[in-house]
Amino acid sequence: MTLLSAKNLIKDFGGLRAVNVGAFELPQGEIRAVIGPNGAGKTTFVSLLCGRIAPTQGAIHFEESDITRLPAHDRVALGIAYTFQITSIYPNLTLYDNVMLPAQRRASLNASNDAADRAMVALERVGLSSRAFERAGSQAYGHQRLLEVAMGLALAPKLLILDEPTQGLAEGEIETFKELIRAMAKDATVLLIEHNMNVVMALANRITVLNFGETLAEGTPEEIRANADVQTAYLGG
Amino acid sequence: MRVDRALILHLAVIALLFAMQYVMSPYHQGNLARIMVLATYATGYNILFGYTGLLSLGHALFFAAGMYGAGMTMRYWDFPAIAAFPTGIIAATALAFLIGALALRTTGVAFMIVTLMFAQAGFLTLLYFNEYTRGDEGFVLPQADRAIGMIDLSADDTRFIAAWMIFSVGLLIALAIVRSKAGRVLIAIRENEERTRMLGFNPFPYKLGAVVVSGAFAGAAGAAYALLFGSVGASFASIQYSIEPLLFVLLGGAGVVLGPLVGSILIFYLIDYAREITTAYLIVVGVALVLLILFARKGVLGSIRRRTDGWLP
Amino acid sequence: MDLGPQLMLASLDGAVGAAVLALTALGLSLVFGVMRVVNVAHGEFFMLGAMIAWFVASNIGGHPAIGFVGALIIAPLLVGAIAASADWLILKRLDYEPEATIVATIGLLYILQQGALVTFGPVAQAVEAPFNHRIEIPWFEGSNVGWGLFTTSYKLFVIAAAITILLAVWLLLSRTKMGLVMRATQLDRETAQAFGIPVEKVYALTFGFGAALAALSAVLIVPIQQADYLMGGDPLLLSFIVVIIGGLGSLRGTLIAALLIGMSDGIISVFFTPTLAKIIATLVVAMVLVFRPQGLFGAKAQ
Repeated sequence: MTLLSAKNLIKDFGGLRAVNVGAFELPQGEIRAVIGPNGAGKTTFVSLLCGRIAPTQGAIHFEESDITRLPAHDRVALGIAYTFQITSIYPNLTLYDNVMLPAQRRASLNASNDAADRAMVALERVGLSSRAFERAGSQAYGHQRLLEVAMGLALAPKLLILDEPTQGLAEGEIETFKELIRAMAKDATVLLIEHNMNVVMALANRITVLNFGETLAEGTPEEIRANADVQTAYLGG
Repeated sequence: MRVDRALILHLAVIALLFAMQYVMSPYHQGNLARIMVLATYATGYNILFGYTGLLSLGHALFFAAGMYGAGMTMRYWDFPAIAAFPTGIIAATALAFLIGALALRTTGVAFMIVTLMFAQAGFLTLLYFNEYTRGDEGFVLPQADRAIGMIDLSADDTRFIAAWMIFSVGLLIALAIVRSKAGRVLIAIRENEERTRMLGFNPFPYKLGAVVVSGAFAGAAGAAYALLFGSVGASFASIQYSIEPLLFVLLGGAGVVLGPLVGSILIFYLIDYAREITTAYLIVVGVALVLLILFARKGVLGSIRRRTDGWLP
Repeated sequence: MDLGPQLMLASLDGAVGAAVLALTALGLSLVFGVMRVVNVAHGEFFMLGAMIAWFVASNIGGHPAIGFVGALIIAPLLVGAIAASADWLILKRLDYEPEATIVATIGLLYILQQGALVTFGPVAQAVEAPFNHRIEIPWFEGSNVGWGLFTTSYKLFVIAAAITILLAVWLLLSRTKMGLVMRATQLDRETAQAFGIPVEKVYALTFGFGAALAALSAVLIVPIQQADYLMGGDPLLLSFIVVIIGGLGSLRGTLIAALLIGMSDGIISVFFTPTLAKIIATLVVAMVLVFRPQGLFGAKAQ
């Protein structure tokens, strides 16, 4: 079943066409990686999907309903969570308060009272529960990235969009992240922007390659590895 | 069961304020009554500025709306005090809703200037309808009208208790708001609005709520001022009365529930003291603003909170 | 008096107001454009200019023209120096963080205003114009005896002086190295710094220069209007209106708006009370910021 789809999605910035994706379909339960050279429009593309920016043209559907005009916060309510490429947390609040917000949002959606439990579970899953009452801003960079993911987790989303989650992490931390994403994929569909090919090849069921804002190729990791166009784009042929 | 330290502290402060009437001279008792009314105003402002991070330069408009809402209905329509007070609050709340809905289309510096301009327009409007509002000079509510049933609100002791009640209710409401789920969202908006939006919260209704609540507090304080001290005037809508709550909150500690009370007490007595020395006593306001913004952004209680593990709400 | 002559007179007064307003607002606009600082104390620099003009004129003695020329030189320099040091001591330390800067300039407003009260006293002071010939306006001469339509040579001088100063500022900004440096800083602070422009000094200079323009226009107007320590409110409000309607940071927009608002302020006040005109203007400004933040004449959003 298709969870999310986009048709003829176009975003212009001034005279520049940043994104022009004819068709994009994301089946439920998949881990999909979006890759592409720098400036290929990856972040712009997923920002259109999660509603941070409005498209110039095109349509986006989520679980059969048209969400093209839906503001970002309402898309979150439908089950689309986004974690930022540049760490975006509440540095002056505790880790607990950081995850408490999305947990509270989730709890209000199913009218339940389990926000506090939900928050602690999210912290446990990323291994930060022992630091729950420390200030988020005083944590190491790797822990802040984990917190960012925990905030997404606490929303219990149907679709989790991760924008370069491993950027700037050390080798050992990346291994932890791979495990984490695999575990998350059991409950949610994952859309992953990633530069690290090792991570992409290890995790993704399918890969979408963007170049100059357009879909260059789409397929399994093996197909993409063998694709001549993709090699040219990456080698700058 | 866990002891609610914060609630106990706030109740203790309320009790302490009540006890002050027995130890203070009538002069200081009168001052404290005035301070508690102004602190109510600033406590509401703190929800907007301290907790939500929105700096309004136009809250005098809501203070004046409360003041005139109560004062005009008493003067022209013979409202009894008990009806005039809520009328003032309603007037201020409605105005805050309208202006909030417009001004919140902007952010940052533009929000500051828009609120300043709306308040200025309101102030000038009060001057323009001088015939009814008595402009800068204002008018005095007759002592006979300033009573609820048999209780004379203009008498020293009842006035003190009335001011104390209004402040206490305001303080507990503020405490409840900032510790509620909605309060957590307000703080989140202050800390990182875009993140909050991407966690599924639409910031706009929360920000508008903060404007409206702070407007209602300002209105309650303005109406109380008219009833307890008898004076109603356009000068209460001037920029100076918009700056005052900002100053109280900054000095006492923005984002600490008790901050505005501490700030109001300090500034009130600082100005009172300066008034004895010089006619240019308002220089205190300027110097305090500059020093606070340069060296002590957290204010008195904000600095204390950092050393107490942050449990102070 | 007929409406025709009255309008004529109003537009002359409007032109005087517009000329002075253009100068004052230009200072505010320059500071906002280059430094992105909203200077709420701008009106107090105007007030200081007027008070210093009175102080200088009343202490120099002799022919009023000597005092006037003295004030014309001393007031802007002194006010500029005060502003530049305020920038150095306060705004620089805040790293020009927008909201903190506004709060600081509000503090500065009180300090300057109350400081002037202590220094110059609460009494409104008049300054004698250097020359003040009565000039009958020829078309209507004698048409209304006792109400004769006239202006003064000094009013015409104010208009001419303001235009001259505006031209000089324009030349300064577009033709000199100082103007180039200011514009470079305005476009991109980091790049300017990388190219060796001492941004901190440019900021102090700009802030001083903006304040000096306000002081200069105050010196020009003070023989027509009296000077007192509370006079800063009106020029501040009007400059804000002009700068916002003209488009924040756009100098051309500022000039057009100053002309429009200064002139219409004169003309509107024939039909409405000044208070009503101000209410309308402040509401318009608020609405412009809410619905069209780039201003009516500005092309780019801030």
